[in-house]
Amino acid sequence: MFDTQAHSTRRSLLQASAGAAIAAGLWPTAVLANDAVEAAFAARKVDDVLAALGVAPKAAPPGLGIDAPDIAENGAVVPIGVKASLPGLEYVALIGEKNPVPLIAVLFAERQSAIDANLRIKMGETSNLRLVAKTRDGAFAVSKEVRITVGGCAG
Amino acid sequence: MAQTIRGRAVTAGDTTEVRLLITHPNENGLRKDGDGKPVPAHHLKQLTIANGDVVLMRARLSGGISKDPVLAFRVQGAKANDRLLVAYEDTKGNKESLTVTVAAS
Repeated sequence: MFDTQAHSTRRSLLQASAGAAIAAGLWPTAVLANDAVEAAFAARKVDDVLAALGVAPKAAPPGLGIDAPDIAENGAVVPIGVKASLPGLEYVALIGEKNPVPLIAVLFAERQSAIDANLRIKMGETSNLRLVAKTRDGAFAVSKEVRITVGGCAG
Repeated sequence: MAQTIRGRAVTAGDTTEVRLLITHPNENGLRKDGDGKPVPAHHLKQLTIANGDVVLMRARLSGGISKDPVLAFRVQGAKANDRLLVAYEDTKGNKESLTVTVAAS
């Protein structure tokens, strides 16, 4: 099939790089190109985060929930559950209102109809956590106050 | 380099729970060390879970995630014996991945 050994070598090189490209396609950086989200991570105030994301969240319908302890003894490790099951879900953003970098995580729905995750986060002081869901029908938010007895800045 | 992701995946019905323990300092860049010098930021930035070509979960994270975090994601689109690729990249460009085989519950 191949005229020369050189062709064969080139073919196998091409195949190898194609394999690498597929692997790279699965790598996070290759699929993430969302400038609004990147800008939101640079914001230092909650209002700026929401402005960067371009959302003005309304009170959430059922299907969006944040599960957090009322009182966390250690602000360096606060267990948080986030759940979102809304039509046309695009992503959820978890915001610690008094954290120096308010935006903690953005979870993308990809092709899934729901997001259901548990995270461990840092909180410097007692504050509200806000979970914002972006859907094709607009943005929604729920919030939950967590009291911190030992701050998470040293974490 | 030592493996920094540990994880397992268990499926029950149409939902698969992927639990991960990622060993990472997750420095947010705001802390100072004992000498008062700022500790540079070094935290997880991107995390994905994929089944073959299908991305099941994708997250963008800040330094607000705990050190050595335990994370759990419940996703659709995987069944027993599927091999899921878990991959992260941090703010220093380090990339790590782990393949976990989905177990039946």
